[in-house]
Amino acid sequence: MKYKVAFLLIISAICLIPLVFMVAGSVKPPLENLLIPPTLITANPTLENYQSLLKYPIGLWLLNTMIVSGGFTVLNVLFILLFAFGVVFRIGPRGRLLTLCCVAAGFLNPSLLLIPRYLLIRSMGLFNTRLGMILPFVPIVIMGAPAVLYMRTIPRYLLDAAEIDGAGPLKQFFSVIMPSVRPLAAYLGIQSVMRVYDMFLWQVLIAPAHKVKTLPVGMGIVVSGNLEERIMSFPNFSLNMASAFVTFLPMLAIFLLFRRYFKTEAFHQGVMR
Amino acid sequence: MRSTRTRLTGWLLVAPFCLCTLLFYVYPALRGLSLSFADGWIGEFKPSLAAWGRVFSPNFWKSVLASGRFSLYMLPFTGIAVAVVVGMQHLPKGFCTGVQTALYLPTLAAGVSMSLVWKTLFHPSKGLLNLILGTETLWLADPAIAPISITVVQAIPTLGPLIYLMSTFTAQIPDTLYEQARLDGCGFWRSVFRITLPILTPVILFAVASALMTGSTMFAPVMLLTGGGPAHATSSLTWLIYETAFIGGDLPRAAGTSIIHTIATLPIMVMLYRSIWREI
Repeated sequence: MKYKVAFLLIISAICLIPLVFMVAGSVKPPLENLLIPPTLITANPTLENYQSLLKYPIGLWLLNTMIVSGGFTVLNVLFILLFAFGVVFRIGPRGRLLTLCCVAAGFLNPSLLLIPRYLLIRSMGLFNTRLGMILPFVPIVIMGAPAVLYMRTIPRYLLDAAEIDGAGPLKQFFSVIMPSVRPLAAYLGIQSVMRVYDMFLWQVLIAPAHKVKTLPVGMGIVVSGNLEERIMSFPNFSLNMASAFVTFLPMLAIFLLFRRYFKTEAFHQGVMR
Repeated sequence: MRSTRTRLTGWLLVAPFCLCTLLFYVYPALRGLSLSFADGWIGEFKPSLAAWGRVFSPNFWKSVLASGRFSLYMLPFTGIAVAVVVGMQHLPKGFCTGVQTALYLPTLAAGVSMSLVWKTLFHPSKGLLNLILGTETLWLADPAIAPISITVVQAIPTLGPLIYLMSTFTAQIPDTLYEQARLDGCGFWRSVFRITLPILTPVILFAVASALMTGSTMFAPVMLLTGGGPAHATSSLTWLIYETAFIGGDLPRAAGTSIIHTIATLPIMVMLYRSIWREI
């Protein structure tokens, strides 16, 4: 018992230390980074680094991030749920084969799709647009599988009852299916939001213009790559820590708001047995 | 009457998903294949086999090696996740939630935030890591150590979701099973190996497969910390493809490399999602 608790505390501490240094480093005066040996925690905390970040269009980058992740999440969740609804309740036996074919597309390595998608999005005229950052990943095909499995657990008579009452397919979807698949929708939503932060490579490639950059790309490439921010040829660590923290905040906010839905990893179960 | 109309609306319902799959997955895959059998610069590709001759360059093999290293170094983190989940069993629920949350926070900072923070910590003379450990290690400039550093940056954020996932499995084991085992004279380790691990086997396989995948698809930390160096030691296959295509401008060769990459990772993908065939 004692050992277990000690082990868990040590692992948690190791994982949290980078985050602690992120916060502690972001309030360190930039020149203090040049001291040898460096200080762990500064004695003179300052907000100077956050003020230097203000000369970059952070508000715009945050807005772009919200548009890209919001748009992606809504489209992805909607398409997957509509698909699962159609396959399970409408198409009949052929739905199984269709699901397998679609999900098999998820076996393709993302690196294979990178270059052709880049050419495709360019030829669609979506280079340097937010839509170009959203579209090519809709839908996350592999998630079709847990969605279909979950949809099968919804009793058919609910839909039959709605149909007798004269509800059309869309009405059935929004007033019968949606309320009963809320945990699934939450899982798909959380997974989608988390993915957008992962799509760093794509966002770097497809949106080089400052005005459409997302927060991670802006912070990772523009701010930390800006040679003018260097102090005597050393990177400005304090500024980097401040930009890391600002990039982290939106995700933290989502986590705190929707914390209970983050535990719905259980939906992987159907895909794993 | 019901069936024809129902089916028609059914196809309309699945249309957005299927059309997007065709446009953004199937078509790009075929285009990638055709691109690798072409040669030239963007906008003027001609059919040719020349690109395949350039695919298997020394740098390709260095990337294969680097990807293998990353995958190998990812594996201990799966072990850590298992250890944490086993350790959390039979502990008070509040404490477990605390640990789970603490381990999930790095996941929220994955990618850019984590890379920026670690870049600072790794700095040889001004970084805090060497200060704390009292060493003078070149975390990102030593070809033997850089892959480990990059893996740590990538791996810590994978722990959180994995632990949530594994906990849902261990939560299904009734406590009476452990009590019964203890009454039968079964010690802690024995009950771990005989009860907990067998239940966790599917997740562990899943975790190992995703760890193997992560190795060759490592990107954000490579781009932000090492740029594939030193001496290609951290050049994962995804990085090589990015570098060949978008820094070197040789799209056909990059497409060829990505086809090899896909074929090589296909068995891992099948292992990851093999049960889909049975369940659906």
